[in-house]
Amino acid sequence: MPPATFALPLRNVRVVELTTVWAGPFTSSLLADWGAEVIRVESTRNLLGGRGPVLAPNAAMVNSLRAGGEFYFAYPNWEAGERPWNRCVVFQVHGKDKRSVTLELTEPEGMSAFEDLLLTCDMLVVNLAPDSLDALGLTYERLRRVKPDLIMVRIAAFGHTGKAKQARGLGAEAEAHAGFTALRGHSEVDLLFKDNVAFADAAGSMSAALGAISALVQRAQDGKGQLIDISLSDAVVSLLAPALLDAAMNNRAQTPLGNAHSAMAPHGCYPCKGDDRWLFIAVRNDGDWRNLCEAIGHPAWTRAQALQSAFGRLRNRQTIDEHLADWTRSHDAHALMSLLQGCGVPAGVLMNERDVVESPHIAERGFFLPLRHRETGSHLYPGTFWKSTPPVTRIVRAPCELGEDNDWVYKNLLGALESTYAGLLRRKLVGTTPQS
Amino acid sequence: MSMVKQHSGQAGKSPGALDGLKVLDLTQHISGPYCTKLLADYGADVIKIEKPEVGDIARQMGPFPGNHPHREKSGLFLYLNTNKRGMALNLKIEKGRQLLLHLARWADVVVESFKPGTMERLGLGYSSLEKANKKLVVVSISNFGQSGPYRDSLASEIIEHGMGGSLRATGMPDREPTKYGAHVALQQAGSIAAAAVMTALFARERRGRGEHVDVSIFETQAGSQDRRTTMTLAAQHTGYVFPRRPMQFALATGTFPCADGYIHLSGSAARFPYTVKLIGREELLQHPTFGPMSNRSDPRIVEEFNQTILLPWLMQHTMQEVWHMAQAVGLACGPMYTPKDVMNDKTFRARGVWATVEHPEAGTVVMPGRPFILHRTPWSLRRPAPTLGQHNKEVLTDALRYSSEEVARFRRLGVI
Repeated sequence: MPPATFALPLRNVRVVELTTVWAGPFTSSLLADWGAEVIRVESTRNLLGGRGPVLAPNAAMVNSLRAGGEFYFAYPNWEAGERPWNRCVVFQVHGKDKRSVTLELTEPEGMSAFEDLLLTCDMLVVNLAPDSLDALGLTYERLRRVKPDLIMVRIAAFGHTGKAKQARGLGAEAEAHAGFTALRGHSEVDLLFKDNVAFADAAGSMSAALGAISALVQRAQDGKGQLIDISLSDAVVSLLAPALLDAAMNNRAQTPLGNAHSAMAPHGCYPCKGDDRWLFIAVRNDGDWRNLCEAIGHPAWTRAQALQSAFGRLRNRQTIDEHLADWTRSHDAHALMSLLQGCGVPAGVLMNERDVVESPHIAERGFFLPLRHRETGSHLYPGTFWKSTPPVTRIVRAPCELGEDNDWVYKNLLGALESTYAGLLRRKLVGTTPQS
Repeated sequence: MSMVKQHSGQAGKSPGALDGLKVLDLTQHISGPYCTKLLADYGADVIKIEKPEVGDIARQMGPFPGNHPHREKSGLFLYLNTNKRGMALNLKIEKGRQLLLHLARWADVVVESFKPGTMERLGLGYSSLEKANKKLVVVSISNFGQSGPYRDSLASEIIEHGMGGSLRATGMPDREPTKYGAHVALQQAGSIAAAAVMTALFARERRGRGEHVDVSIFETQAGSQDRRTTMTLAAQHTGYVFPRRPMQFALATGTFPCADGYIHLSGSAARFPYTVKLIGREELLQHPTFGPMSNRSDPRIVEEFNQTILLPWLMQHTMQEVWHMAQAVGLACGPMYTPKDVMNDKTFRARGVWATVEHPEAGTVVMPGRPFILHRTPWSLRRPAPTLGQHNKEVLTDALRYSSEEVARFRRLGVI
């Protein structure tokens, strides 16, 4: 008989992270999802962006969301609380299953503790700006002398070799550089109006996590670590390959297609009854088209000879889209999805943040994990990307509070003497509250 | 511990991280092939199974050189199937399924992307595969997963992408939401599936057995660690579902025109000192309007700075000039490239992002190479994507030890 459940795959792997928003903390949060013990190294003097944009947001900032502002300030119940750095959403979203220790890398005691910590771990994940990391002396060349089999995952917008190796950038800059921004949206008209979607961070963190496990697999064989160089913009280039191949093969610079597809029509997003409610429909072939005509009751416009072939539908996509939108507009999106799916037409509703969390499908599969945090209450957090059979046992820790694991790290992991640790606390080289 | 059996690589070449790993690839279209491509590119021996005569549907998808569709020349297919061996195998007949079970005994990993239930119908469900090979890692990639009310629903990329919640962040509020370019969501699901394979292999050493992994493309979108998951949690924190809204302009943040194109900057209120250094106007830090930190978030002041000070300066400089000057002052900045610009960019070239593939039918094809750099066990291009059924004989004689006569018989019977 197979066992009823397994321990998580990366059990016994310990990761230290030194990160700021976004790709860094998301990389280690993926590794934590897969079972690694992640220790987040933080500074009370210079609390990095991973715990929110400001330490003490004022009322205007906290409420800015309702005035059309960004979601970074989404605090529970519109209250920043006494310790906003533990409550803010940009931290909460990646902080589960991590431990937090504080130390000051610019002080000898801090660097020494950091190096001792590295000796107890398997991997270091960093995404500070390349020049900041070099200035701190945290290069792979130096750290491998501290720990010869270290696996170091270094993440930057444009990577760590080449002409832009010292260039700073966030996901948005990497997306622009990789051609992602120029290829999304309706057309060039709204090039200036493309909101930051942070897609490069998702792509880069998955590349980084994949590289990290590959290096673990290799190290299990030969005992050697290595440096993994992650460029957010390389990660996006890999995902855009078909468009780039068109440039390489045919010297064609693709422009944004909006929701149109080069081989399918109709293919798009159609308005439904209600506020900001939409339905996606994709007709892949003649069979789907016949099913769609059946579902909408064969109105006269669908009978045009031109629309009976994929080529004809592509040529007349605008006309089809207008007719379809006239039909969808007066219907409920979910009802239409059921109707069309029932007739064999690929269709799906646009889901907003609440819809996703409340989706019966996602709920049944248990993608979101209920978690209770001491300072924010109970919420559903995104879980692991896949389901395993036999299933894994998982006990999830709530997102770590700043310095929550100082005692454990200094005393248990690093074996610091009680008096030494007390001295660090007294001199504010270790703490649980930001100093600035 | 030995993860996978090592065999010596080619002389003078560094070993790939996954050398010796054996993967049976039953996938088609985009997500599955991208998953197995990642494994093949880092060293795994991947055998791709296709339907005889027809092949993977990606073979029918562009771009094609000179825009002439050809089964062996699809740029998409050539990209998604590098470093794999190819076999055309008819799973509709009993003998074909038997051969597949033989290959499942040979393999460490099986990846499939059929509609849920198909593998079971073919008698190749996880229980059968597990019986054939207890250590096998089986990964199933599907639109909505192997369970749940939407299990059998139909989808294409735009549907999963939109249902996954991200499209609300794109497009303009007075128009319909729009998807991202190319097939990024489907490829993203493929890289997640590759991570699933790797974690299952890592765990296999300790557990002594494989597992069945169920990847839902829909969940890879709902859980994508860009702004989506953050907004999902933010909506729970506040009870407030964000309306789609016009793009918010912050100080020196966003896309701006410059002399020969567009540039993306992340200046922000806090990083204002870098911005004024970039444009050589450091005296503005003491300016009564722009100096005070609290003013720098005021939409009217933001607009005034962006339009009357930043933009005129940008219009006098090229994309490359602005990018280089921003690097010198430490300001986050990136040029807004078209696909052609990407191909010509010196940064990508210097990093060795491109690979040149020589393919027997398609000729020389330049494509993105490695998505990340593993310094000691690098990405390598060992062979181009297979032509349909190219390695039928090689696989049957090498991996399964059939004789040439038996292979000829399989061909006559329409098995391969």
